[in-house]
Amino acid sequence: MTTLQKRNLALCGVCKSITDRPMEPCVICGAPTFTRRPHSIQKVWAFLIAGMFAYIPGNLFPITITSSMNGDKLATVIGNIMMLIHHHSPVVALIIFLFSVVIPLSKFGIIAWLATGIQRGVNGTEKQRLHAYEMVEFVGRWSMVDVFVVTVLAALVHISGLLIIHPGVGIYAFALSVILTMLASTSLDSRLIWQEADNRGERNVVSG
Amino acid sequence: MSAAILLVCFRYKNSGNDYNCLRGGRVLATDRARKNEIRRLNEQFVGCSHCDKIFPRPTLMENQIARCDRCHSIVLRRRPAAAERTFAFMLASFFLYGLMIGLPFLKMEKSGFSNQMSLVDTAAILWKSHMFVLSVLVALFVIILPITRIVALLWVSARLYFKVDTRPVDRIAFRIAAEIDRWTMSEIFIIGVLVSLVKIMQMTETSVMSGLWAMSVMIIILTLGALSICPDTFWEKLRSGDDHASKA
Repeated sequence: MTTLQKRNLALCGVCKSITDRPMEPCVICGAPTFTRRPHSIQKVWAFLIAGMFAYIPGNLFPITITSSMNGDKLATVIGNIMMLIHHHSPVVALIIFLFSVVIPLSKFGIIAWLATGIQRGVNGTEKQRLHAYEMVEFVGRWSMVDVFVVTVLAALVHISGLLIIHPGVGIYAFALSVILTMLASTSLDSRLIWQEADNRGERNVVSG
Repeated sequence: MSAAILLVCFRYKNSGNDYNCLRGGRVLATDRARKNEIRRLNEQFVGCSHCDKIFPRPTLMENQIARCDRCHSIVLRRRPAAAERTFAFMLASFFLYGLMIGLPFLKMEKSGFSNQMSLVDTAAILWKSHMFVLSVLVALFVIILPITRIVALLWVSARLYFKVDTRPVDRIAFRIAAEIDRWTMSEIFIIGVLVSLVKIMQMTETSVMSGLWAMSVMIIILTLGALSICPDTFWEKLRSGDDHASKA
């Protein structure tokens, strides 16, 4: 049971080339190489906490302001979902609910769970944690759907006097939150999940 | 925009110690020896990027996958005809992307007024209406980065497909493609367009235009393209390729 770290080698994160000088840039692709990404956990917490804080105004403030002859109508993320249910589009409402509420919230939870797990060496088996990590990496970008919906609406629905849709403050906070949590999940070095096991020496996980 | 490009150039210039293509210099003998060292090391071993375990490099047949016995994630994979397929899909998506960007995709009518717009219009209209943040988000994530990725992959796969001597530029191109992968959001934008279509239909007369069909085909081509790329094979070839400049 040997790891690259024990042999004083490192893997380039981009081109997966093994190098014997871990702190130098990769000879093949030029990307910086590390045995473990420096300050990984600190960065994760920083981005995650910032992303959580950005998510609060993202949900409290309106994301769209619809001005028509009947006056202005403000709608938050949840408000838009309720409106879709009201207009008999439950499938679309469900999609938006999934992308804008379920995924971001579960992402906060999972990243925090992973980070505490790495720091304390607990929280599930390594394999479970890796699956959680891969899921977060894969699914995180999809929260941007709501941002692009507002973008299309704001650009297209623009008839002065009749009907105008403006983006609300909430959408900026929401977009910021998505980008920050994406940065949080990229800063997490998955090799740290196994660090504990590496340090303990032997720990055989039976392959499936 | 130009500041961002400058920043990227700066990063790439400073990131490699022996990056001669950007300085226009010759490849030094020490650089070559160093590259050979790395090449030999990688011919013998392979590492798991998820859990850091090291293995002797297995020889794979086409369609075979090697998994790490500790974390069960993929260590090596060999997809068949990767360069050919990637080249084909990227060529298709290059032209489709042009259509997708230029053709109007939604049209809205209300009380005699009508509005239609393409992807480029979206970014331009938002910019003119002083919604700079949204405009930049669309321009970056849906126009600039996806095109950069497509062009970079087209370039690399063409080089490998036509079996030209690889150069450091190819490695930079493939690295760019790999690093911006997660930030390209064209498929997410398309879902966003579909959702906003449902929303606008409740308020106004809305019709779907040709751009949306281009987008739909684009999703399929992009997915197929992503499934045909084989980073392991590509990097292996790029690693073993003798740099053109070193022959001089």
